[in-house]
Amino acid sequence: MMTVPKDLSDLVRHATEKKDVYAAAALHPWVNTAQRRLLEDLWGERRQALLLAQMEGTPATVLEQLFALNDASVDARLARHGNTAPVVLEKLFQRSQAGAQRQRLRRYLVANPATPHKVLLQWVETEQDLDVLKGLCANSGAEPEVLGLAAQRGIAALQTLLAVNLASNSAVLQHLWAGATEGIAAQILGHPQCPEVLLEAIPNTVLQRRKLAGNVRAPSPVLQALSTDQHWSVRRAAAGNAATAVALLTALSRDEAEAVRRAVAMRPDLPVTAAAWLAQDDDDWVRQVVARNAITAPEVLERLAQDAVMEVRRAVARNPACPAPLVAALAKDENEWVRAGVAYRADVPAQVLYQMEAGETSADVLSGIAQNAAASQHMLQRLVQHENPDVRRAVILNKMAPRALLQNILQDPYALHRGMVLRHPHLHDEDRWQLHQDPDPRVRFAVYGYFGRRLGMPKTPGTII
Amino acid sequence: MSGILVIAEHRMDELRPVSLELIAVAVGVKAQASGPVTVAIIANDPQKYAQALSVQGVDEVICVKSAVVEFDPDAYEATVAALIAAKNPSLVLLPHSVNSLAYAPALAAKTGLGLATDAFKVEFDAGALVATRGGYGQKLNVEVDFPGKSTVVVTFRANVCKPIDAAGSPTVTQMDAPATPARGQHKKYIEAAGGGDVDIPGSEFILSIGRGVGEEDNVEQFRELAQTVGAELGCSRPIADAGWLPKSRQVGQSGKTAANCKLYIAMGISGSVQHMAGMKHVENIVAVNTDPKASIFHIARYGIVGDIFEIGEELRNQFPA
Amino acid sequence: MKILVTVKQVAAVDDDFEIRTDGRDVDPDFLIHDLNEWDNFSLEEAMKIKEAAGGEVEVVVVSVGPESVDEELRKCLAKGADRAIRVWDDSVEGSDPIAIARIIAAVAKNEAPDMLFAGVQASDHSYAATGIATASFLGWPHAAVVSLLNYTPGSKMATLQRELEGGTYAEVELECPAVLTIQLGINVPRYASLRGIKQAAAKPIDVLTPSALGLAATDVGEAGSLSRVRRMYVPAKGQAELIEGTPAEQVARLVKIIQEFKGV
Ligand SMILES: Cc1cc2nc3c(=O)[nH]c(=O)nc-3n(C[C@H](O)[C@H](O)[C@H](O)COP(=O)(O)OP(=O)(O)OC[C@H]3O[C@@H](n4cnc5c(N)ncnc54)[C@H](O)[C@@H]3O)c2cc1C
Repeated sequence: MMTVPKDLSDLVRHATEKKDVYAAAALHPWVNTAQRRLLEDLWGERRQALLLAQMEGTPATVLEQLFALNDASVDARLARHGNTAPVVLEKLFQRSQAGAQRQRLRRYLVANPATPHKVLLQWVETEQDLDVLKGLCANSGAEPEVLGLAAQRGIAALQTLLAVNLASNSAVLQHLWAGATEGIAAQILGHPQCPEVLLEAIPNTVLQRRKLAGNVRAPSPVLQALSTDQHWSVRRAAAGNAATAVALLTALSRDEAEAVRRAVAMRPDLPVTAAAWLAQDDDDWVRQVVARNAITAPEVLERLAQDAVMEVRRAVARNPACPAPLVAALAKDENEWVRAGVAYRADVPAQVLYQMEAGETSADVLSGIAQNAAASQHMLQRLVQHENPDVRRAVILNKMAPRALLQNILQDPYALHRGMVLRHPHLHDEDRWQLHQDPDPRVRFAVYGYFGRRLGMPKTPGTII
Repeated sequence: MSGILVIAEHRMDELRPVSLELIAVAVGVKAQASGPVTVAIIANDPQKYAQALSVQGVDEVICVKSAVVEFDPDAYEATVAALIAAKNPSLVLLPHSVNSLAYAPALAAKTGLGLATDAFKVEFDAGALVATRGGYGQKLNVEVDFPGKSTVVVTFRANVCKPIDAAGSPTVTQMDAPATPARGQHKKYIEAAGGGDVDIPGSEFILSIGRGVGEEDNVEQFRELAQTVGAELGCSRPIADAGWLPKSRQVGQSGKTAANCKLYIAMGISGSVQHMAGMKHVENIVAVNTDPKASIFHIARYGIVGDIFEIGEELRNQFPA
Repeated sequence: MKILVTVKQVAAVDDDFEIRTDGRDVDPDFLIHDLNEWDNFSLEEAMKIKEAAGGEVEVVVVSVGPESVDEELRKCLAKGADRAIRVWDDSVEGSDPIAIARIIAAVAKNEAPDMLFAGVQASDHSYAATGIATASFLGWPHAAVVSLLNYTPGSKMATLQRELEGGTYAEVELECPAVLTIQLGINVPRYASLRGIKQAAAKPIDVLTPSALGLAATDVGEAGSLSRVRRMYVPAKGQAELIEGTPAEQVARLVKIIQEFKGV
């Protein structure tokens, strides 16, 4: 048995001895400056720097160190990386003032939600490159102030992006409204920040009425009017709007358009009588949606559980309020996808699961059983050795899987499985450390990341990755 | 050496449309090749294709009568070699098809001709042929030339060039294919088994969802959407792992390959290497993702930076019944 | 009994790569290497035959490339290949698929396998030429894009299916030994077990040079090639066309794309 490293310098020694770039990157945030130097030596070659600057999950401290290389191609990758710290993005902006890379870097920086507000402010008023401006106007992390400045530049190509951007506030939208095309106006009417005054009138076009009917801030008289609109798509939007009064739902549940009935059948506040009505709908999508709705009465569900359409029975099996006897009955359904629906339920009794496993061959059903907290150790013992990797993986996802079973996974040929099992709370650190020389770099990255955090933050033992 | 030789392709008694596309390519560079465009069709009953191949710009159609009824790589190699010897073309155009792949490299290797496969452009630069093809997973264009080669074989990609509609009046000639000893035997054609409930490999149109759907209850609306637009529903692995959709719908390295797909709409899928392994070859990929940096956009033909719920609902509303 | 499986280390690029100063390739710092996807399937097909025959079959993998290729060969050894051969020296630089095929054919002449499997193509440059050109140099029967194979080691004939365009397959009978290019999906490739990976470290990789195989300097490199890369460049328009506009406008376009596909 390998001994688990007792401190960070132990870990650093392991990483440097193995010249493991991935281990080094994972450890970097947790260690002191001198140790960092040792680790940084491991990615001294340009190809490794490029690789880390691109790799998902590279820690911010590593990215900051890569910034110091002052390499244009590395910079471009840093400008797009999700972990690059705002201060580094700001410095990249400064670097972009001069270099030949200016345009490319800026296009990336404006699109990065972590780029600081003040950086964006610095150039929104003067930037000439349309692509850079477009990226800025689409950035959902931008402050309304910045978007307002962009709106004031009156560039047609930007207006749509601003109307779509959820970060635009009502002042921005009000400004856009003045010169809005029909389509942009519709978008503004559907925007959660749409100015109050615009929500009060019934617009002329179907698209605008549809967008308004979907806005939860639309006043209730407006929604009432829209719920009887001539066009089905407007009624459908109203039917799906949480702000539409319950009183209107019964009428909507008798709408002539299937699309409308399908939308209303989904509502958590659907009157029970309307649910019963919809349960007899000719359209099987409507029946599926009601069958899944938690407000549907048990006796209605019982009928739906006999439905000829498999997906309707499956929906009953996935209904959180499905009564226990019905769950047990559906566990024996002839269709495997219905049985799988049962197997994934958190409330299936162990006894039912046990009966389900016997003779079952469907990977969908077996995977459901394997990830189910109620599955017995005995069953899991069999499933963890299943030849189908999907089934084995489901055991890893089982929060109750005991250590002894999970240890099997440490040898699993699927790298993905070894990387996943690492996070299971029932594994011990000795088990996890066994993977520190795993052939798969992502697994090693995860192992060292885990131990770095573990030993770097001793105050919170028990936190998992 | 001058002129262009086009080898037409047929299967199960039908001319394959790519043949006419190749003729258009040949006619397009005919002036630079300073020679005639000759189209050859190799078949047991080649005459029946002659008329369809007689389009504007073609100078000669050679009906090559072959004793072999179905495609055989040895027979085709020997026949095309004989055609080249007879015509001395500077460019031989073949479709980049499964059948061409079975003999074009052998033909070029044996006779020392220039060779480029899967080209999507050919041109003459100062008299020398240059072919353009894709490199590094089609991320780059690669220009290839053929120093010292007076005849170059190019297998040319389908669906790049529009066929010529106008009819022409080439001379139609006959030729007998050289006899080759049979080392292989075509037995029969088999059509891919259709049917079955979920058929990702056989499907031409797939709408796939990924972790962007957020929760199981949201899956329903995309199932409905797929049905509305007439697509097979696919998914990324996390969706199948969660038990939200059957494993038979999972696309990717550890799932199914969208082998026959022509249109793939990826909604809320980031585009991991493993997912792309099952679909990146699809010609028309539409990606819908809120994250403009998502890798899926690198392989997509069309990208929509947007919310899948909004786009999905919009599509539901706009799709003609 | 012996099956020779050809494999390739492929290279992929991420975004923001640089082109080499001579303009003829990507700066190698930006390349990410892996085993060609198709080769997993051809190796698996060989392994299946080996296992069905009860171990009487030797599976040998061969690749042409520099030392870094050993990493991919080890992956194959870890999955159960018996030994590996790598051919390289500086003269090989600049080889096109045909020159590579000439080298592989020379290896095959020495090894005298009963079958040779190659991937249909490699994911980096998609030449789809090496396997069939190898067959030509060997003078062997060959079939391209094989999606199903029925072959018992030692038999004179193999029955196979070739995957044609549009969901059609052709069933073919072929004399052996033969060269087959193997298509994705023909089987389910295994993953190497951790034990296999450890054992692979001890298995031999023979490193040969073209001249040791009896090839002349003109057989390999640019001299032995039928084509030459003149220039590489990034296409002016990136692949994805961003559909712009409001969601309603974007979807209007999407509807058109769907209808175009449906031929409406
Ligand atoms: C050995 C191995 C084999 C594997 N095999 C497969 C396989 O066969 N198939 C497969 O798919 N995966 C496979 N994987 C898993 C793969 O690595 C990824 O984890 C998986 O593909 C990610 O799925 P995803 O794109 O749905 O999820 P994520 O990567 O989480 O992406 C979700 C995406 O949705 C976007 N998004 C979120 N909300 C919205 C919204 N409202 N609107 C629009 N977009 C939104 C996000 O921007 C993100 O890009 C395999 C992994 C390994 C290691």
